[in-house]
Amino acid sequence: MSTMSHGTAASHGAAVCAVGTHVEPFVFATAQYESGDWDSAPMVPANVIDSIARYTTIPVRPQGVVASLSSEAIFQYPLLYLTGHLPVRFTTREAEVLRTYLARGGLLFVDDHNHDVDGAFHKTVREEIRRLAGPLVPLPNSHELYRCFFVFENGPPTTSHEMNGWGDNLVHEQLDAVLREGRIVVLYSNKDYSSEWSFHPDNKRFLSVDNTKFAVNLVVYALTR
Amino acid sequence: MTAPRGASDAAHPRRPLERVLRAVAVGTLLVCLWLSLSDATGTASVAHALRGDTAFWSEPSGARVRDSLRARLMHLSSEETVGLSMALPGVPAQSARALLGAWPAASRPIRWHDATGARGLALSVTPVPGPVGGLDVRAAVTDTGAVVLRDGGGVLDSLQGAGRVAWRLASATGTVRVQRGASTARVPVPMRVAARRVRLIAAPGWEAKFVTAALEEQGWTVDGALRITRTASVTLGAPQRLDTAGYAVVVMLDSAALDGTAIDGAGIARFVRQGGGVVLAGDALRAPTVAAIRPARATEVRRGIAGALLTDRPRGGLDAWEVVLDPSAVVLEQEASDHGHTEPLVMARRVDAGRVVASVYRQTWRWRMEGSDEGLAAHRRWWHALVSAAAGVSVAPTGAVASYPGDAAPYADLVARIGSPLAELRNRAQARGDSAELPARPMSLGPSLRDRLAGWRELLFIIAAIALLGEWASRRLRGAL
Repeated sequence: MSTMSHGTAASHGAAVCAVGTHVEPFVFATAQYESGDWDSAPMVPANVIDSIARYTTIPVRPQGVVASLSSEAIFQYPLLYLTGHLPVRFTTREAEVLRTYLARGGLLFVDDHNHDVDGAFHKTVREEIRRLAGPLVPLPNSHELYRCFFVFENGPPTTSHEMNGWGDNLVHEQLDAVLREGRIVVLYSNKDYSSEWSFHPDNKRFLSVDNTKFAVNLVVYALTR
Repeated sequence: MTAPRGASDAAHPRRPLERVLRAVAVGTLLVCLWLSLSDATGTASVAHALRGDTAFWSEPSGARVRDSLRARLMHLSSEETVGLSMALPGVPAQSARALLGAWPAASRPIRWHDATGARGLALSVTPVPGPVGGLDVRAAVTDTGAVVLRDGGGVLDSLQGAGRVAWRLASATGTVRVQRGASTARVPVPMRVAARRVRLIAAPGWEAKFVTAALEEQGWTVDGALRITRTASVTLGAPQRLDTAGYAVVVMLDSAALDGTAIDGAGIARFVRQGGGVVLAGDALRAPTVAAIRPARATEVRRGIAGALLTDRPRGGLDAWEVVLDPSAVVLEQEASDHGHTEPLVMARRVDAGRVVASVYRQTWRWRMEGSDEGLAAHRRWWHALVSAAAGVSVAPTGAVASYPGDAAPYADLVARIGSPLAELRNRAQARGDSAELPARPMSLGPSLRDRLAGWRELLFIIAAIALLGEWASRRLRGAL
């Protein structure tokens, strides 16, 4: 586990330099937490970054970062991706930082890598989210998240695990979210996008269906809403 | 034997009549001589024939007063009248005051008695810039008592006050009026600027996201088109054609954001010249498309001080542009630099009817996300203040301003046009110990005897002629010389 350097904030100083104007690149950040297996989907950042670069002109940093929830460094990354299989129990410090992060406008995307409503991750992380940000409610499939770039008429795209009957053997029709003033602050998925966006070799579906398009929508939504 | 001629003549019964006729003729001729002499010396004033009660004079439209005054003043003008004296039982409407004001402007003084019962009262109604909007209503009164506020829909409120009273109205219709006793001041509700709507020009990114959030949290409506690909954009709100009817302010956050949008630099320049506001922040100060209107040109980036975002001077932790000011720019905020000079932080420049406000800071979202617990609210207030500063420019002079003070302070307007009333002049003269220039007695407020007689010149001549003829005929018929 390592925490990568944090871009421009780390290089702040009083120096004056001539620079050209530029748009700050988007940095994909994975949340690191003490309990559970936060790094269960190491391929996701690279594949999502690739899709952003492929489908949009949004400047994106080629490498993602890992941001510890116990560090205020997460405030540099207003979109955080959090996943895992194991029970989640945030430390007091992690809860405090994450609560502040959400209050200031950060967006936390949580994906259940188990695809199992009876799974430990699902049960514990939802409780943690409720404790930090309030109860999750179903996000309507007409939400702009599904239309802000690619259009997903039926809401969140289904995943291979849902269609193969793995996990809870359910196709989840909706995602859940915590909204504040109309904006998503926590987005919760039971669909196991972590597996889908990892392009596992045992799953060839990604060769015909690029489900990372939904990840592009998520990034576009986070950057514009 | 006949009586002596002198005795019979003196005893003739028509002698008293003849004396009366002679006296009438002489008196009439003397009056005509006086009238002629007074016309020749030009010292007399012609009193008005306008009558009317308070309702007549205080009629809001002033149409009856205006028509009566116009006819009467034209008549008086043809008589080479040198002045007017009158009593005013009410403050005339603006059009009537304008007619009266033309009289002293033509070097013909007006002396008037104040029977209006009105007191000094002035009203100001200005729109409040910002998304919340509303009207700031302030009235100045010279005495204590109830001040009643009305608009086109009726009474809104009343306050007991002296000196100054003020209201903040969410909206009003028609004309805002305040009344204190017999005094009423009126101001038309100012045209509402579409102050709620902001057009954002930015590339997708955290700065665009959090500036939008800050403005929306303050009540602004933000529209924009953020370019995601070379051909596709994500829209915020419902972007419309850029004009002052639709938007109060354009916020531009970076130099390349105009690429691929329907807005160009000429459109932004036209918008600001027509009265819109523009905020150029961060890298937008480098945009060549707005070079003609920007208050300053960015040169080099001054890096933020590490850790300063968490101090009581959090903006010191943000990267900022060093700038070269345009000669017409005004610095709204600056700070001392390490080099011994001051660094402009916020600048403004008037461009025709609009204003361009510029901020040197880049990536202000870090203030909100990475700053202290106060950062969120401070970032929000900062952006609200920037946009409000650009939005608070009036778009054009209004008629009310052109005719100042007008109905906003009608009594003051009356005095400004025709001078102070006699009592006031007398009080001032007494205060100075100088009463020589004023009549010892109050002026006759109705038509004077001379004025009445002046209209009877022909009749006076006929009376004089008839009296002389009658007296002469009587004497000749009785044989007298």
